[in-house]
Amino acid sequence: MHAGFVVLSRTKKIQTFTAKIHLYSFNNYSYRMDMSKREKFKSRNSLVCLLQGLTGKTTTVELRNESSMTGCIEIVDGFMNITMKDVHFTDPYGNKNFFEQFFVNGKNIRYVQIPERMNILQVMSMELPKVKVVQN
Amino acid sequence: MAAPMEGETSESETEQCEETDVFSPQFDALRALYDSNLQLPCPEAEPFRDILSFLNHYNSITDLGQVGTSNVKKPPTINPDENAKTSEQEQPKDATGRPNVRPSKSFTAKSGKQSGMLTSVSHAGPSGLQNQKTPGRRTQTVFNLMEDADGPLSLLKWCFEKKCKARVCTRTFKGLRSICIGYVVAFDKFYNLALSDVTEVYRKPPLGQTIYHQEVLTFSKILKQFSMPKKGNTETPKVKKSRNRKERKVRLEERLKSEGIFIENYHPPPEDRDTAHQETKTVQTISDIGDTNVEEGQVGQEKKEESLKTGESREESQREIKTDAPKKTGKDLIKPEEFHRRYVRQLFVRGDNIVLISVKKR
Repeated sequence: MHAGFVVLSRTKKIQTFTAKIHLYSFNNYSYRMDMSKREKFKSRNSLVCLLQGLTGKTTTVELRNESSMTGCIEIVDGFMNITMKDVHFTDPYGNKNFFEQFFVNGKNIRYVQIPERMNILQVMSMELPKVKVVQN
Repeated sequence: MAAPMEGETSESETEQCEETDVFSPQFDALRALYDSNLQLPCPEAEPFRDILSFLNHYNSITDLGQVGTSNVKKPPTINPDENAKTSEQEQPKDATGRPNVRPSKSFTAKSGKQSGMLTSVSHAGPSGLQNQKTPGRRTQTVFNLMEDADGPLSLLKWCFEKKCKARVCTRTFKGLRSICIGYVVAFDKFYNLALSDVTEVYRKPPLGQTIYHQEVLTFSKILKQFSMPKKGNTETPKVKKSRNRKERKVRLEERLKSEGIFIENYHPPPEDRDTAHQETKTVQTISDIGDTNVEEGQVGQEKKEESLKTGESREESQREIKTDAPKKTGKDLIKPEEFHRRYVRQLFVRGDNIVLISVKKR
């Protein structure tokens, strides 16, 4: 996909910008401009790519403070921060809550249970091409 | 800026020309932006939004093997004479009203827009772009890192290749938490692991201040739990011990003598956390057998009897143990009931929480 967004009206600028992002996500060899270099590096060179392949799946994430959350993973970024939706959250004391949206800092994660049917290596190899680092 | 007025001298005209001339050292970008008379060196060139999109375009061209690769390495030459053009060129403008700014690049005196574009690239940073195009350059990915694992990570690589079970020890914020035994499916340099067929034996840390008074958990202690029978099944039946004080005392003395504990002129060591811990441990295990007031047997038995009678504080009497006595193998403080066990088919463990990894069989 070549960049050809020359003529943009001031009002339409924002719309077309978001459209651009969607196009990037469908393209295999895309230059992700919303990720910093560090984030891209982590996405490619660590197992975060495995977690990124889990988007849309319902799994259990266990945190460092002995709490756990079961829900559908929306987004995982390069730093392993996870946004989940429709989450049943159990706190360390055992109390259960339900949240529609939940964000977890990557550093607080201890375990992520991967659904049984998924082939880990395959998922990783599918995720890797989505983030291409521009060499400078 | 408006067109030069008629009354202006030739000097100012040339001045203006110089300022709007892309190649001149006096090039004034701001002025050029607003100059309607600006003469572009290459008006047919395709405008781009930013450098990234330009690079994208450039790569696609060189991929196709078109004209240009030979031109890339040539140094840019400045030919200001080429710019003299008669026709008035109006700068293509954005719909925003501002003229579309082109990245300032130098051009060789070659015809054709493509070659012009490509030669300009050499000015923009040849080394970086060449890196992109050298054949045989492997992009770094997780899989590459897994293959090239060197040093300590080579153990993980070994596990991964030979498909043997690894024992992964995890931690709480203070102390050990669990051991997971499973096959390593993937790993990375941060020690994040993807494991499969995982059996985990863990002990949840108690909430609050209790954790500081808890018995320190070690690797071997957790490992023992794996081989222990499941909850509810006890292999060794409990032996009922008599509650008679004297009998207990005698039993205790005998046992201690057999282990070689002699307490004579015992000086308690300086307040040291570890030793204090050990002391309390040994004392408590002994006291587990019987009543809390039972003391350890020693050579100076009479003295002990006296202390018993006088009802000295438990602590004082407890201190009279030699710490270099062999460790008591009675009931451990850590009860098997505290541990939980679970099986997970596929688990991802974040490297932060891993303490050590050992292999089950070599």
